[in-house]
Amino acid sequence: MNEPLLSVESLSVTFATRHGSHTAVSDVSFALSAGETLGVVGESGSGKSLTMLSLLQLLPNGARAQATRARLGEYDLLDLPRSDLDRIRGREIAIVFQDPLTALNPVVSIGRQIIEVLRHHFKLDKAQARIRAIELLARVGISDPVLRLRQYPHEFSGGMRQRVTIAMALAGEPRILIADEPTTALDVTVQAQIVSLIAGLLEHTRMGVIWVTHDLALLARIADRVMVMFAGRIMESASCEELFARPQHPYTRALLANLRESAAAPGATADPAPQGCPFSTRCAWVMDTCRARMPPVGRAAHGGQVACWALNP
Amino acid sequence: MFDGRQLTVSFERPSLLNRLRGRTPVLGLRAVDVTIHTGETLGLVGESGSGKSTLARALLRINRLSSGSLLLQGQEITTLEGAPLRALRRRLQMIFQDPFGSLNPRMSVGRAIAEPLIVHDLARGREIHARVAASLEMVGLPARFAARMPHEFSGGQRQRICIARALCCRPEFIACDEVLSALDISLQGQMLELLGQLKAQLGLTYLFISHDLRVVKRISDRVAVMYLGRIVELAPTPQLYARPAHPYTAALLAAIPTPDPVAERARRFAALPGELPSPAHPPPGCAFHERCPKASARCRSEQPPLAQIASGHQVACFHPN
Repeated sequence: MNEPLLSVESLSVTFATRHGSHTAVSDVSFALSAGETLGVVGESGSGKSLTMLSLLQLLPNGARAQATRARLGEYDLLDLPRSDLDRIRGREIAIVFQDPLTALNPVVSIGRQIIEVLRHHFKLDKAQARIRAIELLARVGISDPVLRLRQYPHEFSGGMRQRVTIAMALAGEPRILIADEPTTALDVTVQAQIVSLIAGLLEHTRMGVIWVTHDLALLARIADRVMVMFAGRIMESASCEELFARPQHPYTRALLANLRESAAAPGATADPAPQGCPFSTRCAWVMDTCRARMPPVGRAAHGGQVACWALNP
Repeated sequence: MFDGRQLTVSFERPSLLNRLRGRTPVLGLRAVDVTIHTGETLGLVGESGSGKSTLARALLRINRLSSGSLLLQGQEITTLEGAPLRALRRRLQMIFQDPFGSLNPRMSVGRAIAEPLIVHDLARGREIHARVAASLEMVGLPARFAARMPHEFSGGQRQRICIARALCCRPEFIACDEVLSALDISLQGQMLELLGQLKAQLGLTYLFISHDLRVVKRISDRVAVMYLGRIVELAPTPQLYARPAHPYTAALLAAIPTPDPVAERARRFAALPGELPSPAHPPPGCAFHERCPKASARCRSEQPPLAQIASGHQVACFHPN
């Protein structure tokens, strides 16, 4: 495969608190190629969203990202001058968030919000931008786009609003689209519509996509590769087919078992061990080593990678 | 246990002004007939706005019924007020989705669990402590947690505390409203197991509300599907999942992703178009006809009644599968 679009090595995100620093993401490495869809699955607090936000310098106050490498083409994502950052956001990497209602400005018409993005990135006059905005709305399946352009977010349903934020993300013709739980706030039938929409849009582009979700089953349809995160670390990564067919890490196995209703989920919850593997408090295979040291990410039987002492002693 | 007939909940009083303006009241529940048997778990699924929570709240007499009749073990409770209504509340409990919002952050866990005992005057003095400890142990938490404050606990533990509070006054019926939705997937299995154990141990009856059909399948004896304030299908769980009769149920089931990339990519499926209509402007006839692949002229003008198509299997559709 040719040079990846995006490559990240040893990314960590730390929060400075009154009681010292707290590491929310540690040692996360991944790459994304053009036309590839990377699925990132994890529970709340697994660091999946923070990882993505750090790439656009959108971390909340007090959080700091560090990495040995975070490159997008010629840009170093963690050390960008303001002018480059404005170019990266929306033009190179666009992001669709979970809640479309807070992602849109309630007092500005949909049309103005899309046109603003278009005119920021491209040299277009108002009339040209308007035509482009109408095309974008039609592309994301919004009927009657000329009328809809004049309307405000509250006049749209949840599913339609999410279509609008997708149109806005596509407006900058980004090389990478980050979809951060874009269907979580939607009803099941609408979720299926949005997944079909994005899958359809991807067929005609070379856009790289990172799809962040807590629902592993959702990734079966759309992802090429899957990365499983837990407590800020990568537990396992592999091609989509291999991960579902031959899950290696006990956490991935537990997630799949839960989806397939074949067994109860892992044992009692407890706070993650301060050192050692964060999953050790729930793991059925736990050994003394697991509680003492975090396993490194190593090669796995399915050709992907896994961080587990039981699999890579 | 429950026998509800033509239960209707309206969210707007039909005042003279509104009638003059030609406004019709917004109905959260439209003439729902529902029976819940003692000892069963009835699953309730549907999209947001379909009336699942409104039905639960109507059964518990939290929402006022605008019409219909409700029997609890043969006793009319539709218009109960005052002391008899408070006595009823002890027997019927509800657990909510958000374990952060449903515990008072300034009240210790023990005090929160004791609250219903004090309100109903079910225990006094030392006995309160004993019952709180017993409730905590029932949900798998140590009795010493009673002295702690809610912020010290994770979402999963808080939800256990909420269950302990519901159990504390020994109810017969618990409505679980999206109780797993705020929990991580790897904790959902444990919580389902706990609810199952408690039900067997205490002889409880559950109404289990969820938008997640995978979860409902695992816990329910029968499942009811709601759409815009009506039950559109009701069947024993295995039958509903294997042979959904209503096109809406079939679409809901088809929309669940399966954890199998090969099957998932080979699957040809057309996502259901549109979204749930506004309850303020319900379409004429069957509320689902605008999104339904099988809609006919009759569906556009006439509301299909909930009718029996097989033993225990009811569906409100003119063209069931």
